[in-house]
Amino acid sequence: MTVLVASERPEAVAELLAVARTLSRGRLVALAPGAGDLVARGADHVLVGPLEALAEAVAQERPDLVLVGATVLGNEGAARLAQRLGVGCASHCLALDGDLEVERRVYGGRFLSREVLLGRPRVATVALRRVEPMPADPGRTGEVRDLGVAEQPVVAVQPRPRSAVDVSRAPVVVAAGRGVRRREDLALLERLASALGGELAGTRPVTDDLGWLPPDRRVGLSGRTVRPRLYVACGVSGQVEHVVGMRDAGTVVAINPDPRAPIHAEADYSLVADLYEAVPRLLALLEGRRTG
Amino acid sequence: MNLAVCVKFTRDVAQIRNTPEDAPLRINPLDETALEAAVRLGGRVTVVTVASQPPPRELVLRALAMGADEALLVLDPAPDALAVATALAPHLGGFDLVLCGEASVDAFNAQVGPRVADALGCPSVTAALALRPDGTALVVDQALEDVIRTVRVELPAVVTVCMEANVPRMPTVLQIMGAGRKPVREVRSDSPGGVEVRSLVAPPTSRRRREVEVEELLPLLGAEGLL
Repeated sequence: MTVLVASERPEAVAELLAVARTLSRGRLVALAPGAGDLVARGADHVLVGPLEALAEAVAQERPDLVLVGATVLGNEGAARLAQRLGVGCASHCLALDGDLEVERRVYGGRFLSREVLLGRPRVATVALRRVEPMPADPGRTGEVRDLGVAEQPVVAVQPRPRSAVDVSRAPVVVAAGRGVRRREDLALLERLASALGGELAGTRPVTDDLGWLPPDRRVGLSGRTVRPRLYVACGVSGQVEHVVGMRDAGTVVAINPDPRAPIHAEADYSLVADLYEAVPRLLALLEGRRTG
Repeated sequence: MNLAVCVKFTRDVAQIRNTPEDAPLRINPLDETALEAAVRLGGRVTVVTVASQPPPRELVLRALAMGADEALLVLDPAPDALAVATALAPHLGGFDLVLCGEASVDAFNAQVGPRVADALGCPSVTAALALRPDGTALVVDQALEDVIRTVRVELPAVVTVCMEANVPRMPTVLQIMGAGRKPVREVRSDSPGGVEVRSLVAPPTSRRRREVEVEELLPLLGAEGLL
């Protein structure tokens, strides 16, 4: 099966090649903004071009399966392509297997849906930051060709606040929810994260509504999915939108003074307590463990 | 400007207990945001929806009460985004701008907007934060993952809006009363789908749910090798 993978982000293309390799032993073609090390990372053929070139790439390569990184632009490009081809598209796939069944979240994250695509080629967008790229093999050879398709011109680009770390790769995550009363109080949770060897993240109200943390630290359905060994939810109520982002954590600790808060049902250990009492106490105990 | 807003009536996911059918229908939250954006732009606003059965009248009235001038109901079994876009496109040809929510809260595909654009042969811009008319064009601020990008597209175009674009208005009693007088048309079609759902499962939760005191926590985490 020939698979075409595409994204406007080169690191996403490398990840998609790894996903494609689990599905097919056949030809892997990559559409990417630059060739980079994509041949070394598994591409038999690299087409250099923006996502605007997706239809052209499909026309030339005639893949059986098209995998696009599930970014805003990727989802748009895949949907347009699928309509052009008169086929279905499975968006934000968490898993793909066999020939070909996909798993994705529906109903606000409450359910997992397993779906198959009718028609050919099959088109899917794949949730990113879940799979490691294949190791670079400098001995691999492959063609590289520029498609000569221009990117859509833009009027302006303004960077959004970004973090130096990727919380989806942190071994420990401390999440701040609405229970945090002031922006300055995040420092307390930052100290807890540090003491535990992890990173601070937040729920949607904290990152987007209040803007106390950059959007790339948002854990949830439309944010990051994290898989740390330890997840400590502080002042988080446990809305489904958030919980879907941390369900795969190893051990979950919930700190919330409301015993009926939904987060307690998603926790291994529940502290029915106010974070303003519990977290300083935990920090003192952690300090005691270190020095004692 | 002649605007169309594509609206989906979805299950209210916040009220789902065991199955989606437990929950009442509502206007997809992001489509309310799209409708609000359309009303703020000014001009004539037509709400268009695809549904396998006529939606509850009070929901259609709510959309009209929020500021739409008329509604078009396309009755089509349309099981998925391919079918919905195929059912919508023939009715959207005369509009300057088509707005939708970025995605529906139930299927979470984020596909119908771009699909409709392709079917109409016009540009699409997704995840819009803000829209500003500029002559025969539209300037849109788009929320990408790392940047806010500003693009300019010639009309006609399809724009999907993200949650942060606005806070949709609550219709007033007068607006709700007036909605009953606005025209509602119904047409039928039958569009084939492109995806088959094999199963729908609620992911099992296997958490221990053990309530502990602060002093007990660290020894427990230590015993698991987490400290």
